[in-house]
Amino acid sequence: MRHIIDVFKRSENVGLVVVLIVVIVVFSVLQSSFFTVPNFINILFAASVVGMVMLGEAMLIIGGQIDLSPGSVAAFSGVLAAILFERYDLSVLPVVAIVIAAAVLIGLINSQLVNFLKIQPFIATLATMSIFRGLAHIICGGSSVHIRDRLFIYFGAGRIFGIPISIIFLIVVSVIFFIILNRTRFGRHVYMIGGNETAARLAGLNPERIKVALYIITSVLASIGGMLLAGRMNSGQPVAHNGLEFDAITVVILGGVSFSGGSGTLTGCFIALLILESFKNGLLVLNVPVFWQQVARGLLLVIALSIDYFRSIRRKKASKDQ
Amino acid sequence: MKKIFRISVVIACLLIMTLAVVGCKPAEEDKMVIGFLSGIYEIQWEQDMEKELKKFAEEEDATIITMDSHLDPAEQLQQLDTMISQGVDGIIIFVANQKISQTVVDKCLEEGIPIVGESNRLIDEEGNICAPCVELDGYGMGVICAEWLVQYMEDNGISAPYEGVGFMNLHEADVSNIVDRADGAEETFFSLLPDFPKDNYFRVETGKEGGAAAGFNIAQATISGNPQIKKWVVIAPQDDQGGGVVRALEQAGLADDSVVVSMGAESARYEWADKGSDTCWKAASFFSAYDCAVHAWRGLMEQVKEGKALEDVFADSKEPGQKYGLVKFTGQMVTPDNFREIMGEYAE
Amino acid sequence: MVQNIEFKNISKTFVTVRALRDVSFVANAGEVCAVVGENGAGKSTLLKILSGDLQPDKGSLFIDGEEKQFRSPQEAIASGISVIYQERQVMPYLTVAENIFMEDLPVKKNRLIDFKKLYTNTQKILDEFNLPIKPTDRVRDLSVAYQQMVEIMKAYRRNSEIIAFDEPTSSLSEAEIDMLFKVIERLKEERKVILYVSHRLKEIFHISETVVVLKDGRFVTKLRTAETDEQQLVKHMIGRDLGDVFNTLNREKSIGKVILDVKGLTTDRISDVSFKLHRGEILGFAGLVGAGRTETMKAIFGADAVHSGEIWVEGKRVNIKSPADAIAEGIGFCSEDRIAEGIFRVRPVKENMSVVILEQLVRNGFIDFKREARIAKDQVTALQIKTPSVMTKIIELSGGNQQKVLLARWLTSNPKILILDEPTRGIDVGAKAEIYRLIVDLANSGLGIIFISSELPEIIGLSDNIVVMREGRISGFLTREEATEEDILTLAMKSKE
Repeated sequence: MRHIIDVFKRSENVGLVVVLIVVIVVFSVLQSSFFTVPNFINILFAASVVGMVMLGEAMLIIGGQIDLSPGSVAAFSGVLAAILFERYDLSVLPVVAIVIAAAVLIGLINSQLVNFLKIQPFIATLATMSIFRGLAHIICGGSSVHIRDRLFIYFGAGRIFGIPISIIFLIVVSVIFFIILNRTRFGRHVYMIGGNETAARLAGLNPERIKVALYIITSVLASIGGMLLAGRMNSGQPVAHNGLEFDAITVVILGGVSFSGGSGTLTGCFIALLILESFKNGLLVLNVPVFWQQVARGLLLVIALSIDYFRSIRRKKASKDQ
Repeated sequence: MKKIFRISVVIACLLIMTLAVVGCKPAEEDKMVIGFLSGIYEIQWEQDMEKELKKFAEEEDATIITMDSHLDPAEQLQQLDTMISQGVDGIIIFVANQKISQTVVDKCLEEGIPIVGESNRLIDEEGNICAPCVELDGYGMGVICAEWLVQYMEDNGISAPYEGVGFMNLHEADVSNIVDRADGAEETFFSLLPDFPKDNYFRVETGKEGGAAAGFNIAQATISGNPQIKKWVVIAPQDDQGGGVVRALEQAGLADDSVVVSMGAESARYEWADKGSDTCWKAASFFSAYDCAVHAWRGLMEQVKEGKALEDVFADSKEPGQKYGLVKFTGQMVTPDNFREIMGEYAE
Repeated sequence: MVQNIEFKNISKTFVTVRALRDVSFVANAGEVCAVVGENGAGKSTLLKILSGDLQPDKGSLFIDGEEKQFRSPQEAIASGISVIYQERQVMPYLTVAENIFMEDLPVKKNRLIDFKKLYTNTQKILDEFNLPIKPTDRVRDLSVAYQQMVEIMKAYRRNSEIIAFDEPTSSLSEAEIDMLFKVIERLKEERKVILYVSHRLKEIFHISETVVVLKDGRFVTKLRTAETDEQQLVKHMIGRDLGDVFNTLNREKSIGKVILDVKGLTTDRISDVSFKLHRGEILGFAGLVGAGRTETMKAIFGADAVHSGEIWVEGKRVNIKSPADAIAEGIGFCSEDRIAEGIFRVRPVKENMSVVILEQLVRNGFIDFKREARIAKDQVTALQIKTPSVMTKIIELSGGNQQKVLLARWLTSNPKILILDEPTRGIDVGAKAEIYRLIVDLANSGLGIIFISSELPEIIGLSDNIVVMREGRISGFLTREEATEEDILTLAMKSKE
């Protein structure tokens, strides 16, 4: 028992786990239909697109960057896929390949704005956010485009053994990036450039190259999320995913990633994602009046972040005592 | 450890308090539960819809669950899943985007859950209606406004050759219902007054921003661009835009001879409560969420209680060649003199 | 009218460094009192105490005999003190007039700014000093010299009776210095108390009446400028005592072949720098702050762009474009700014150590955590780093131990050449001695070491040969045997003839 408590104490994510448990317990007590397998699948399903973007955004913020364009990129990708299906009559494989190639290009643009024009990431991606939202509207003439391809729709809406494919995607991609961030040289470099870019450069790292990779990863993940959702909606929607990046950034910050870069874990982000989506779902299930839901969501953020604050104070005290 | 425990107790209390404050009760098992999937709850219309639906629900001892998608189709599909897993008995939906209509309807059919669309038609890929719907008859609204306006012109001696008289008809090209309203107004106006000079007709685009500011800006530009016009007769397809036009006319010093008719009456009522009939905002067509909710509820109950199939709902109001029924409702004209009695609680 | 300001028994200690000890002297109105001293003598701390930025641990300021304790810069300003810092404190996007009248803009009855009055008042001040700038000019469009003038005018407008300058000429041209001196002469006529901190001796003889010498945070002497000369001043500034740390070092004299040969290196900040480093040699780099030592090293290491010049490593010409290239050539570089350019604050000790050799730790695409930890633990033992574990965040360690972690970072990469830029800055005496021992051990093992330090005893005690830099150029070479602190300081400070 002592050992377990020790592990618990040392873990960065204790506060989050506690919040998650409390959220689940409270909602289950208040409404029994919350605590059911179909509802948990709903929660994960809802989390799948935000989750994709969260992974990229978490790595960017750990690396001291930020990207505001994923929502636009996701919408753009969905619309582009729809148009490739409908106007050019392509099959799934070439469509996905083209859309992902486009996403790589977008990531490249974002990173070059940051690397070569030395624009602040916040500003640079604010600009591309607007650009690609606009392009999403332009390529489809402002209105959404239907998708009829059965396989594509199956990826977005289909289930395997009752589990939506989007969820399987999210879990697989999460595991892959968990390993990349924690076990590979690239992952370590992300932490290093976020922790201190100058020091990283003087230690022989190439921050520019790492940033290119990070922005591309984020764009591609956003694009995959956008395509999954387009499949689910049977259409590419230029207005979809508005504010997706802010949801993702909220999750990342709640998950304990420092805005100043260099620290944080994907595990924390994942727990935070579950907290936010469970809470959102719980409020719906409880039929809380719509405007009060917004209030409650804000309160949850305040509470979760204040736990983090008190913990950090305690840690500081502890390290001073040594 | 103690601290963590204490903190979690505090969180639990706060959460419970939050939920207690908002006064939510767990739904009872055997009660009928109807889901209202709101497209965009921020607008007054949807809040009124919820209110009206709740009134009907009360009579049946049913509960209404409301979810708001903020016009995000993905969010709405998510909420549909949640509602289905919560076992609702029927769904009334303001579809966030018409392109997801077929997906929504398919899901409900699969689960055997009754559905009725409101305000935004549920249509399939070909544009055919794919589930029973209730919607505002935009064209019809334009018609009654134009009829009222023409009558007003005759009563007040605005007649041929209409020298110095201009007809301003606002519209927003991207919103089909608004275009319908403007079309209804335009066609009715000219069929009643075929002699009205086409040079004095101004159909103006308000642009996407909407609201009173958009109405004001476009009206001001039109007024100052046409100084030869001394009397304006105006039809605004949205009420707050009508308000903007009124302000623009007042500032141009043309309010005394001009007349503005708008649709909705939700802004006009403030003007009238404030100034009585001392304004150039002479009338508005009024429609309320009640007009919509009453049909939507009926359509849903035909399925829930009578077990009617989807295609048998609103059987008497199908458009030619359509498989599913569509009920269209219009409003009635209100003026500063009668708006209180006609609008009832919506006048306050 | 203020007659004098007295510093009495001022002491200030930072965590590990005693910056000022018992400093007392008086500066009088109507004269310029220069303050000189080596790097780290305590000049900046003294100014910060004067401006209310820092509070002394002991001692007080007396203005005309009245005791003053400033808790904030606002209080110092209220007592008529203005400090013109090296880094300008102007608001670049506001006009000259707005800057000068910053916290006291004239307003009309309706509380709006009275621009007419603002501009006429400003013009009056500018005319008094014959400055050819307009009240409506934006400060950001002015040259550095005029930006400084704006600051001085602000002090003048506040009726500051005590005006202090911190290295005011460091980025001015000759003509601009003349203009500054005219303004200072004018302030002298107004019978202000003027403190003038600079290490440019020529200027001090030009402008000051008296000169105060500080050394190691202590007051050495106050002289009348007219009665002294450069040589005598330098003598007063040197002669620090660090005990016999250096005598106990076990230095083997085993200098080998040339390992690094730099020829005519020129960048934005340095020109025509050439020197040779041998295997097993400790080559000291001395000079004042801003002399171009760090810039030279950054150019060699590929962190700054090189305009011209050649770098030869072990007799082979190399083309270094980035730190990664330099590391590949076997060069290591420990930056002078440990916090900003060295450590990864929030990362554990182990990651801070392994960052350079990460490539070697990768097996099948994954980092070998066990080997990483083992290497880190070995270094912790070898360098006697005091840390709870290798997983502790580096920021939780003391400065000296952080420095050792950074040394370990480079040692694990087995460099041939190690550049150490101010490795003992901001760490306590005990840790300093350990670092000296490490440096000597490394040199004994055959590394070529470049050792930059602003502390002369360190340079002399540790280096085999010494390079002195001044204003971006090498101003002299000395061997350990012939070097004295006086020689080095003279080479580092001597004014351009």
